[in-house]
Amino acid sequence: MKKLFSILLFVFAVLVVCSMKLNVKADENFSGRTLTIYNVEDYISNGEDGYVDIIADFEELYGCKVNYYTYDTNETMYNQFNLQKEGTYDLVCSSEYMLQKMIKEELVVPLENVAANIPNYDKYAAKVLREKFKSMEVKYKGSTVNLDQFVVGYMWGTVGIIYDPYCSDTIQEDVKSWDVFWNPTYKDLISIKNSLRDAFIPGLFHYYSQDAKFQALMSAYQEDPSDENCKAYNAYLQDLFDFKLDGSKESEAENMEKIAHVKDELTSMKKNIFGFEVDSGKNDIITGKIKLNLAYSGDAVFSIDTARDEADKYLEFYIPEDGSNNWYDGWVIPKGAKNVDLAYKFLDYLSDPANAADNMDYIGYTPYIVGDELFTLTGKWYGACDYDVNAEYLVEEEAYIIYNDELFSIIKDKPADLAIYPDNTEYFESCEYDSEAEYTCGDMVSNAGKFYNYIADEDGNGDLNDEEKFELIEGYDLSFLFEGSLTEGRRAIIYAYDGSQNELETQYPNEQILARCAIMNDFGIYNDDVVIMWSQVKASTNMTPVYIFLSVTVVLLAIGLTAYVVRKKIVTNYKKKLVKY
Amino acid sequence: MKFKRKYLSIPYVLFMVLFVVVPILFIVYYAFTNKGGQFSFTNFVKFFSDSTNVNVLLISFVYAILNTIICLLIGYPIAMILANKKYNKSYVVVLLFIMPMWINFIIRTSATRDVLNWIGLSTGANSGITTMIGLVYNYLPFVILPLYSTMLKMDKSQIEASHDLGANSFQTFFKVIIPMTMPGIVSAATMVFMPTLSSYVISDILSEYNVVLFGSYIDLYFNQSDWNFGSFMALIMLMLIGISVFLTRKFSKDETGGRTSLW
Repeated sequence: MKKLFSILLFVFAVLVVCSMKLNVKADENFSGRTLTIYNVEDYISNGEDGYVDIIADFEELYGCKVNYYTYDTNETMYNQFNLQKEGTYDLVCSSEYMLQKMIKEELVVPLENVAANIPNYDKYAAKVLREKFKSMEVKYKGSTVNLDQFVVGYMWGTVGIIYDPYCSDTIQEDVKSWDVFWNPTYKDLISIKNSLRDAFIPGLFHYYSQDAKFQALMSAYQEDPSDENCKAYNAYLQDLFDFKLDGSKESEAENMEKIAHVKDELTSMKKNIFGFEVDSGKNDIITGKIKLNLAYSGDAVFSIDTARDEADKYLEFYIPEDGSNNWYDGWVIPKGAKNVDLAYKFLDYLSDPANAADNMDYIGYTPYIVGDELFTLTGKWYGACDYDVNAEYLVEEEAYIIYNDELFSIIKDKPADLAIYPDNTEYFESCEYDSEAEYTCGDMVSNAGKFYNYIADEDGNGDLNDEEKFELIEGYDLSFLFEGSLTEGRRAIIYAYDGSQNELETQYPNEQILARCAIMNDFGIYNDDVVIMWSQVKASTNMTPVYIFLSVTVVLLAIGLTAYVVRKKIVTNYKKKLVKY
Repeated sequence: MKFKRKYLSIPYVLFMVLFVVVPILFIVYYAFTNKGGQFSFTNFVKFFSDSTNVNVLLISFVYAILNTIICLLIGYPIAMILANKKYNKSYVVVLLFIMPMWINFIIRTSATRDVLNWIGLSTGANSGITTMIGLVYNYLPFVILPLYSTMLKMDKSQIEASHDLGANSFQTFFKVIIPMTMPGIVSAATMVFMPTLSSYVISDILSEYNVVLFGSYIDLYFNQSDWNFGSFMALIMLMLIGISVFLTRKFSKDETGGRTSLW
């Protein structure tokens, strides 16, 4: 017995020493540690088709292991998250409204010392977007906090309509308003996301845009998108989205009225649309089964790309002028997370502009992070932008770059670490306008600091002032977003290729577009009422045939049953008589 | 320790407890509690105070009844043909009808959606019809199989006797064949009616979420994390299934009182 005891003691001692050693080691690096992440499906670059594998790279860099779990909708995430015991996940990614709910329910903990723990985020997160997070307030443990204290932004975007610009003559005008979903011209050609919050947007704005004050603010914004008009319009839209949660009788009546209006609108819309979709919309619009689809900006970018590359089809995206939604996805650290330090490292890794660019390259959504790498990538995709000396430029990318107000194209692969400038004629070729040169459709030229797309169908040279052949490009200014994150002297302006303007606006909406997008905060205690409203909309159908059919069935059944019973009685009586005789 | 034969039942009892009894207890618990976990009848009140909930149930009934009738009308002649040795020498025809069952029904339904749209029957514009087609297509094998097996066991001499006694084929069919295959019909009907009530993937895919059956309605509430109300509706469905099992048992008893239904 004594021997056994001493053995146990020895084993215990060894274990204690070992674990102490492990702890010491863990402080130096993260080997042997496991980071558990819960994210949306397909929402990180995963190494497919030659894209960067963010997770594997992170594991290699820090010598740790990553357990990566995914979910399909925010609601599934919430259900699953609550089923797991505290401390299962170290990092969770979700949308702003769900994060508000989780903060309110004290399921997550605040970020600590962002500047020291996540320096990349502190440096490269777009200032305007962080301001938006700061404006989103929520109650936490009795005090008012804002989202920026809890959430590390990941991706953001808008909600709008992706459509086939050739499906009718008036489509370009029609998509400027949500009325298009009620328009009989497009009957059975529209699909909506099978999601209560997304369907809420057209329902709400279709009803309230009839209001005189709404109309006045909207037309002021449309005629003169000055700062002041944009702000006023945005504030009004935001007010429409928000449920009044002060608990007073008037607020409650107002909120319930809003829900009732949305219900009526959506019920009438349901009769005009093709249907609701979970994931099939992206594909259906490419095959042409539907012509209009309510879509997130990031999905729209994917659809536009796929349609052009695989089906040779041109699609466009538009955010209706009568208001839409502007959403944000971000990371939070759940209460009881065991690897907070490692979680910070992961967030810092994601917030490195180079990695954020890799992520954007794969997912297609727009990251919260801004910086040279992201701007260069956006430029390569959609148009010409200022030269980035630290970037890699490949001939096959067919990118145009601007240097000293002059346009250049790449004729030899320029590696990232080679510090040369476009005046180096071995690697770059000037695209300054030359009246002798031959141009083909899609070419871009510069002349005296101005940039033109060659848009004529047939090849040729022609006069620069001929509007049939050369189209002057207006610069697309994104400095409100990229301000301060780019190399000194680099302008945040992109000159879009012919036909890329729309996709560029989809990927990076400018200030004016964002002015008509408001944030849809958590519905709070009204969530239950909205769910009931949504279920009523979904189940709404013409009940008359149902009632008729059921009553006929019941009558037939009753007749049949009586006949059966009567017949049985007669037969038994007859049998009895037979026995008697 | 001596091995007793009844130990063999342990895995089955465990299975039943884990996957049948415990889930039902959970459903009952959630159905009669509110979000805070207190005992309450709020779900009961909520269900019957909104006509939408009952309407969804009625719609599901219509689809289930129609599906049962159409499946029986199509499946009965097919089963008769299959059971006839003259037409089905090598059992190839049976195979043709059973084969689709070997493929997962979600894959089949997605394919059906494309086929229907391709032949011009838009799943969005005619969602009621396309849902019906999908339901019939998916549940037809469940009708054919029980009918086919009862018809194989059918006493052929009774049919011959009926002909000998002067009944025409019409009378023979209604007075002899149908009563003899009644157990098959009842089990076929139960196999179709009850699953249709709660089916939702088929209606979701083939109606573009326009037709909402009771199953998808429950799913909607579960997805919005309202487990209590979802459970209450699941309980209602369980009760309906219980009632239909009770009724079919009652009707499938023959004169001598023995059970003749296959299920």
